[in-house]
Amino acid sequence: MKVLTHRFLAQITIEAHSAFAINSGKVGLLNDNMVAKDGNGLPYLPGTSIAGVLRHAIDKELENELFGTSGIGNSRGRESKDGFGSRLVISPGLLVGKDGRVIEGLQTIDFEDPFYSLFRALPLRDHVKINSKGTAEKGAKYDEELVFKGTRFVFEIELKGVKEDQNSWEKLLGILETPDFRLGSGTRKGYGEFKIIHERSFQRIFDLTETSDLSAYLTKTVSLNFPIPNGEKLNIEKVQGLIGWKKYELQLRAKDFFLFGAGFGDGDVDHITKREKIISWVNHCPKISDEEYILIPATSIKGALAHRLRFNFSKEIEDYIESPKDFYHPQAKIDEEHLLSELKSLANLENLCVNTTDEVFMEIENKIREFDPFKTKPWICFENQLKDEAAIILKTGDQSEESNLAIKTLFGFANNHSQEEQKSSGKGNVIIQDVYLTYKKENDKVFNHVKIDRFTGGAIDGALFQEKAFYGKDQPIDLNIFVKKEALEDPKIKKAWEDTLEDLIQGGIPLGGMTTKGHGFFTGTKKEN
Amino acid sequence: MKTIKFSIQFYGYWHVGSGLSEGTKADSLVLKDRNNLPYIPGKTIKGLFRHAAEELAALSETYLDKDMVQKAFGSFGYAESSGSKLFFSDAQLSSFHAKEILSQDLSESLYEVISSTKIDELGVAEDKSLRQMEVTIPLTLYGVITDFENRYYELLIKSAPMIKYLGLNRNRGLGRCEIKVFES
Repeated sequence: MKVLTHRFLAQITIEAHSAFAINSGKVGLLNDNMVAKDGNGLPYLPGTSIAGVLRHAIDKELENELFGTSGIGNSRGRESKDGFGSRLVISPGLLVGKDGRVIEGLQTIDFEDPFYSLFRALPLRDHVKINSKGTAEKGAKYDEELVFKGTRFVFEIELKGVKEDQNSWEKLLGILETPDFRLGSGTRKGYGEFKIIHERSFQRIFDLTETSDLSAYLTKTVSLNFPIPNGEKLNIEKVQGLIGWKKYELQLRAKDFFLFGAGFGDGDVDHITKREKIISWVNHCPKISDEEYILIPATSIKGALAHRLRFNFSKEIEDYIESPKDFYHPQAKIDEEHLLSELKSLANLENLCVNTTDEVFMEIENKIREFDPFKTKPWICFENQLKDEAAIILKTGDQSEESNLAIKTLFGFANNHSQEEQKSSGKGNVIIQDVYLTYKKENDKVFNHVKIDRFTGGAIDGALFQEKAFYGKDQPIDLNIFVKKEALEDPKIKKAWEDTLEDLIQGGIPLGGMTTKGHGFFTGTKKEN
Repeated sequence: MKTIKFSIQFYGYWHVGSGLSEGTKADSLVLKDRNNLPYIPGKTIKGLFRHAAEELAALSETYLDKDMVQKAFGSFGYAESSGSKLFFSDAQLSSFHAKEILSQDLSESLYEVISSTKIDELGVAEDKSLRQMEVTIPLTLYGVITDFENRYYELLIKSAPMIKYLGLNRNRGLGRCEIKVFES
């Protein structure tokens, strides 16, 4: 057995740059998804989640070598291969507590404390699917628990190997800096973005054949509160991370009011805008924002963009009512001459005269009566032509499948269990970020509505309702959208996508709720990168 | 002859498997004693010590002697000296904690169920890959190594810090622990 003489160890602090959810698979009392929590009841990043994301992102040839693999076949079979264990040890990411220390082991957490009490009531997000007609789909409403933006975690990665593994190690750490390094669920609707905190992240390579390194390695406990002795700062090149991704920088500005609904009201009104708290850091200690931030969820933007993309793409591939493709020129014709001559040939009319007996006439009449035009050659020929044409028309009817191509390529698609295809789901290739805006009380505006009786023109009793929209004209919204380059290879998809963004910055796509009464109009500028 | 105590302090969830599963609750359950309290078999701990010692001996002859390791933990064969010289007890909760937990009937709260799923090439969860595992919350367990010759003491002291994680999924964040050896 090869002796693994080197240990590549890194202790990394990461901060959630967006809210995130690593689900536990449990259903809560008030929500459909609960996040994973550690022994202290605080959210954590399970080691399997981090490992899975790294494994998924690393080159194929390195994957099994670092992460281990199961064997193939039995030992007698010719093509059998022994499996081997993982050389990579990944710790869970544990929460950094209010004094800046990692909370590990079993601790007495004072959940009455202003900081820890936050984790008793984590943010909730509501979702609903909007169908092609722009209204909520039945049965597609759900909500989920998330962890605050700004939460910090510490985790360790250890690679057991030899000196030559240095390259693999650097590659592995490089993944942590790519824009698609995201943890947990909903990574395509703005969740799970993490950034390394470089001044709190260290690494060291131990050569265990050296006595000093060996004793240093042995004294380093797995406790995440003890930094790596003589560790050096993590130094990963950041630029390489953007390879393969196209970045769109949008700056939007609300025309006046918008309302991304919280799903409920407050003491004053029936509908309020979604707000969320975030955690910020002062001297490596967490500080909870006093005011909540106005949230523009990426999922709302994604839904609206996807909807418009479908429209633009259909236009591009000419799939619409009365499109040139749909226009039907009938080609099939019936050979009437031929049919008539066949009918004429049935009876010999030339020999008829005044003396012709009734029997002869009867015979002719019967022949004509029994003549079936649908069995004649010209008719069968005509019928076949019609069938061929129908097949062509039906084929063009399948275009709706084709029209979904852009959506599938850019935004992914869910598994359709009714189909027998095995691989029928995929992750999206567009990453949109959540946007947090500073909340100002004076920018709130209450809109009053009342339903009017259609016949009398008077107000209906009990039909008064209100919403509180947010005046956002004074705050620019910086929106970064990443798109995988390979998803834009098809020029038609690319055109449709860029038209969609153009529509957005021209103010053609209202965002958020109650857009039909004037909320949620944005205009802006776009930069490509 | 010497008898020493050791402690295993866990920093996070851990899973020492029982090989059992329980219907809809979890696919793999942890090992529990008759009082529903977690323990780690001496056999498991001995294996961990042996692995650590062998690894260290392979890395540096001067740090640990290979022959010494073989003698201490035993080797295959019929020779009189091939038996192991170290006797590990199971590691259990301290009797104080165990009593406290049992008297308040808290043993159920020592366990939690976690789930995971596999993500395929397209980035979505693979069908039939969801599995659930019972884990134990971070605790400290104690055990003893009894009646061994004094010369093996150093070996135990030296190998203990090499054991940094134990149990199932130790490469994936479970079972991170610190083993301390001290004279009783």
